[in-house]
Amino acid sequence: MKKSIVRASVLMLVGSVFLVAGGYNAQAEKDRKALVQYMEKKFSDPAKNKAMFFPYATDEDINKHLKKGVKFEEFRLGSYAIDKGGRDQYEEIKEMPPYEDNIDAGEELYKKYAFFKKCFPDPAIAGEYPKFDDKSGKVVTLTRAINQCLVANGEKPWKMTKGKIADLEAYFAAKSAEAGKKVNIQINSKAAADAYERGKKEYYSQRGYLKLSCANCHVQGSGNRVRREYLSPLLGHTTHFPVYRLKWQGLGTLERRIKGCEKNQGENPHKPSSDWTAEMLYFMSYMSNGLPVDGPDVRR
Amino acid sequence: MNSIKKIATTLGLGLALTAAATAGDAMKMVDEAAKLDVKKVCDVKANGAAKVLAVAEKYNPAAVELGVEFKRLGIRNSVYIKGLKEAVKAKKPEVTLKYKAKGKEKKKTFKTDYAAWRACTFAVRALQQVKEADKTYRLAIPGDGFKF
Amino acid sequence: MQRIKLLAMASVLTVALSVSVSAGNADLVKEGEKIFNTKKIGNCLACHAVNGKKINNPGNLGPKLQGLSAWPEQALYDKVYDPYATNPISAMPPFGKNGVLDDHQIKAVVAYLKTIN
Repeated sequence: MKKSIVRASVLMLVGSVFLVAGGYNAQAEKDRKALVQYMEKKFSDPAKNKAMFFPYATDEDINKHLKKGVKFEEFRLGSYAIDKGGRDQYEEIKEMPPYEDNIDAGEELYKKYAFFKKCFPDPAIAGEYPKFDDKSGKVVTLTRAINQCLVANGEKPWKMTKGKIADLEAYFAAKSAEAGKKVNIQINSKAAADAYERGKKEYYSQRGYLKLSCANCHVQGSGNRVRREYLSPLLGHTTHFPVYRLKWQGLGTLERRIKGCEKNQGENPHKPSSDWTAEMLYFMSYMSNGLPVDGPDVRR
Repeated sequence: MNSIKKIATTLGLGLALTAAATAGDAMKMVDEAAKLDVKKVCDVKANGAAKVLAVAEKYNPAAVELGVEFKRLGIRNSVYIKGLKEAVKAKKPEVTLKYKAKGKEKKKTFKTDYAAWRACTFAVRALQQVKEADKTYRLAIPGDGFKF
Repeated sequence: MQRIKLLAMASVLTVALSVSVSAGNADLVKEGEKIFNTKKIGNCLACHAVNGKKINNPGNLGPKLQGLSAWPEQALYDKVYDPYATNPISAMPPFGKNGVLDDHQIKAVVAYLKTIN
């Protein structure tokens, strides 16, 4: 009884931080709190809640793998928050992270192009993107913002999925994590709220020849397995980008990762430059509001 | 200066109208596809490969326009359709599709009838799922249609 | 004498037919098993373990399949063709309706599923 009162008041505190003037994010806050409630309930005790959340889990899943009592901040670790076995491997890799060079390269880029300091005077801003730009009526991801800065200063835009842009984002993310920043996505206008709703609808829509929505795997399916892979939860999905994926043997942006997900649904992926991608990322990032910015990080 | 502004506005309006027109056309195709029985319409034995391919050609462009085109194992549905055009016309029993995956050129051979059935199904279903998602997406949202 | 000859022929034919059907069925089961276990075809093992069979690291997004030998073939076929009758947001793809597996391939899968106790 006491525990639930404490939890409820913590939730209210965390929640109340995000009700901005104008209340344009009211629906988004409802959605976010419901998602947090779902994830915390789901991963509070997999053994006890097996029938509801992990109906087909094996004994090995319940006893050896699925973690009990996952706390809010831990969800930034993705499947490593919920899978004990994966967590051990992850901790090992974190002793010698493969993205250190990328952060250094990003810092070099920040210094090399003086205009970056004008566009991003404070590099610890990874947790603030995507933003909604009322002037253009578009969602601006960090990737889009960097390219807008380049183009405004007479340079060609960089590739949106990897390479220089990922290095610069690694620097921004590392500075943000260093400064203890939390994800803080804003919805400050009706147009922004509409963009959020479009991203949300796309997230929950079933698509591709496999007729899978993102939610099939990362909401209802989270904590369950495809072959041996524990599906990571939506909560905390975007906190740790850019990500060094062992599969890529390299760093990639959110835009890069989303393409892979779409292919897994059986659909030809949207272009990284599309509004579709930006709005999807806007919704997803908002869902992780309040979590620590944790990039760059390593994943399978 | 004034004439340049005029041209720019006209061009902008023209572009916007074209975009709206194509989007409107795509939604028309969605409405049409919703009424189809995909099993019947893509049945090669009953309708012949040529008719079935025609269905694919009719609906897949709208799927591409709406960003919902199916892609399986590296092969987009447009690639299926492109390869099938010649094979069906020449009544070849097999069709080899050329595509790019992970930066490499690849090839895959299908029985023409199988590929035609698939191309037709992929085109129609991509559009049907647009409407279906409209009805079902809220069922998955915690705090909305999804209870726990 | 004629009748006995006819009877003998009929029984030989029946035996011959049933042998060929079950031999044919054995091939169909094998084909279905391949579809079940191959990532680039049906990839059923991505989500499903199978009772009494050794599957290579099956997932648990779907139930462990058991007792399917008791299901009518049509019910199994319909489920693989389009599983949305019971759950409108099911994570199981409509393999038939969405053009992944054709009629013959689904029949092969059904033949395999019928061997699951």
